[in-house]
Amino acid sequence: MIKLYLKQAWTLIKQNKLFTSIYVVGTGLSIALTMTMFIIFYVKFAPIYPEYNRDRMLTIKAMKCYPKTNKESWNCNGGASYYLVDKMLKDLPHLEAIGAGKQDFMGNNTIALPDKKEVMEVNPYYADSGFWSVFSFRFLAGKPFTQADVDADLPVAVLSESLAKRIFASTDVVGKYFTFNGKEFRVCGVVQDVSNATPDTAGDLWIPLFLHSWVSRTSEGEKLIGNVHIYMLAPTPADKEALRAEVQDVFRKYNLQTSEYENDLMQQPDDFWKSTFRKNSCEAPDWGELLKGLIYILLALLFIPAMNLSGMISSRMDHRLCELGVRRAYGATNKILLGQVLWENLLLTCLGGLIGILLSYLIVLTASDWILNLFDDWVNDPAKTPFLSFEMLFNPWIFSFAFVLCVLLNLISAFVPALWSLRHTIIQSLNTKR
Amino acid sequence: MIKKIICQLWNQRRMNGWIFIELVIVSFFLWTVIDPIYILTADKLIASGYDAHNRYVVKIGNYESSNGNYQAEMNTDSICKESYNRIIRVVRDLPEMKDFSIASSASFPNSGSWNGTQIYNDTADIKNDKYIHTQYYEFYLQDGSNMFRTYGMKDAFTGADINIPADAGTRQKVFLSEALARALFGKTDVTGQKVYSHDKSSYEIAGVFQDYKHRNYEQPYPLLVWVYNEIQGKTYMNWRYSITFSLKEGVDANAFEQRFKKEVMPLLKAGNFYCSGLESFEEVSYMYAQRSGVINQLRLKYSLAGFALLCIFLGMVGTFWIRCNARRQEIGIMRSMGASENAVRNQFLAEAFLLVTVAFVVALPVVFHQVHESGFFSSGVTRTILDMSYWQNQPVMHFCIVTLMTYIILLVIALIGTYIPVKRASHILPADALRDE
Repeated sequence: MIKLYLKQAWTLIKQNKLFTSIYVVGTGLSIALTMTMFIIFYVKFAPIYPEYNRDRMLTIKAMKCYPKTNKESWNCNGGASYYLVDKMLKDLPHLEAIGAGKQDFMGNNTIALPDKKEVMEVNPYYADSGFWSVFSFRFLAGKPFTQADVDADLPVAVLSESLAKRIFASTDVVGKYFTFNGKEFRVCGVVQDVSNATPDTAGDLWIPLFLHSWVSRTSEGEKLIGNVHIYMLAPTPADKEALRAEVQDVFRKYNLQTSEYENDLMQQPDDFWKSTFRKNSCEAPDWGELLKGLIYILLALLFIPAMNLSGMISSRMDHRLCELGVRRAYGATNKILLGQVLWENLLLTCLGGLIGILLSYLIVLTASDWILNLFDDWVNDPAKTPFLSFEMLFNPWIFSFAFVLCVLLNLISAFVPALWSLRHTIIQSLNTKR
Repeated sequence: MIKKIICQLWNQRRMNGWIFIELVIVSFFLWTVIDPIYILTADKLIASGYDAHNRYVVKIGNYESSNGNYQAEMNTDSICKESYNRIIRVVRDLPEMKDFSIASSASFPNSGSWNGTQIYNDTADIKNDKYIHTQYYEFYLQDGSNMFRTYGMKDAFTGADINIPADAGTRQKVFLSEALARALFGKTDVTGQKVYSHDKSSYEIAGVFQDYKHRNYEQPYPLLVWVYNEIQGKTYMNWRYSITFSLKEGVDANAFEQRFKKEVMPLLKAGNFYCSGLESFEEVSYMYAQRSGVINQLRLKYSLAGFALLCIFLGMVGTFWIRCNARRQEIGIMRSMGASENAVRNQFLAEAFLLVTVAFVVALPVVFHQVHESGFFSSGVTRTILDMSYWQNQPVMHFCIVTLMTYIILLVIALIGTYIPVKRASHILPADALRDE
């Protein structure tokens, strides 16, 4: 039966080309923009190389502290002290792994072969050994540096595949030497390239954390503000809440024993997806406002074209009242006829959906240097352009979402006009052509 | 005529209902999207109070202790000061250079940093905590540095270059923007008067300059300029002090930038300091707009406005295409009774006009409620004093402008969407239309 409906719909498509074009373009436009939005947030939230464990990850990316006697005299920073990782959090019961990292934002980092004068600019990432356990890097050669390397400030580095090829023309370069900012480093591993679309891990090379002069092993007295981002992994997504409670409890106890300063986590540790919205180091984002803004846009993207489509379907239903009357006269129920209309329109909507998804890929790929930051209030380094990998764009979630959107749009736009047309009696319907 | 059209619209209310609902939704949505575009654009159009053309910031870095080029023996305050001064003098002596300035790192347009303070016009106000919040710049007179000339800031009264008294640095004189002078004294003619900081220190006003925007997409904020004689030696001087300069008239900026990179940059190296590049004021401004999300806001809002308008366009094309087909008989009769193509077209366009106008009027109370509850779009620094001479700061005017802009844009798009099918339908010959029926 469904095959018959689709056949009929196909014939109608061929008969009413203008109607079809407007309908398909309208649907395509809505789905293209909604899918673009979905892809942006999919890349931010979903498991993407090397951040496959985002669903069971908690983060601390900012810290605030103030004297116990004067809460207004606060001090905050976009990072926490490494003391937290080293002394306070590493033995928590629901913690599988903990790591710390720091993006370099000062720029002017150069790399060269020891005997060559020619230098090239690179983006280094400073990490401890736990960082490699929290994130799932694919090593093409060698292995990550160890905590002993980090503690000893050894000049070792993990290179990205493309950087290894740029300086050594090979990825099999473990044990080779290069100079980074004028100092000799040894390559200990080479990993598959990481896109700037995952800014928590992206870099051209990864080097031991304390080689960054702004990162210290100790805390600044009782203050726990610092410069590292902390990533904690719970054994399962369900254990995240327990881990969060444990972290907050550690802080509560720490604050009880400090005499001068109070340290404020500002509602952290965050789920990974939430941490992508934490742009202000001094206060927690207003989640309600953020969510409201996004839902408002999403509803507009769905409902405005749906009104269009409803109007067009409504007019077409008026032309087909007679046909519906005949079908009802031969025993078709309202439910069957409603199903027919929805199936027919689903074909059109899916055509629009197909165009929409292609259009969304076109938008995302042509604007790849800025589109992922479109909803961000603050962009740390606009000059860093991400590359989009296959898994970011082509995966079951994206196609499923596109299909669900089509069904949703179809339901929103076709249901009411179809139901409206079916209110007429058989006689009224048959008489419309007289 | 209007009565007839209203009658037509009413009779076809079911067919018109969907496009009417869409128009109401889009009117509201478009208003909320155009509001930020209007504010950001209107703020950007306000005169900046400086000239960005052919002006540059010299980017200075310093080798950290982990760097192979780091020299520990050079890392003392006095050697750092000497090193930094050496770099300053190389910049000062560039033959293409017209003016140069040494200022704090927050004291050039669109710098990522922003310094603010509280200032009083009377010591009694300190007691009553009646302060004016102001942004402040700091600049240093050493080696002939002149921030006002370098940035192209002008005197509020003469419009000419600002005269810096010889004792400005020694006696810590200050310069005020017009906005700050007005906020403190209610007038701008305040040269020679005094302002006070929270610790009751007094500062003589050496001049008033034209309103100045630290950031391109924001309105001028009250600005106070402190003047000092010379910089202090610190190991982090590159973070503390900025070096900016302007080019002489007639210097080819591209050629200069290339020469700077190739020949000058290697010279700008002393102690642990080095030059990491040159950024024009325009580049600094664009970079800040990108970082602060303003460019993203505009991109998003323009995309959403485009989307909503395209939907309306398609909706009007679809609705009027169907309507024209359904009313071929009517069009045929009108044409046979002597109506011209234009008359037929105008009737449909008038229907579209009425539809859009009524939908817009229906949406307006909802828009008004939204503005009443959430306020207009706001961005940038929260300001305690608003310059009411800007239309975007006058609530009624602001509301009217955005409303008018939204209505006109919506109407134009809707009329274009209507015109296409109507033009096609009005071409029909009366005999053909009547025979089809």
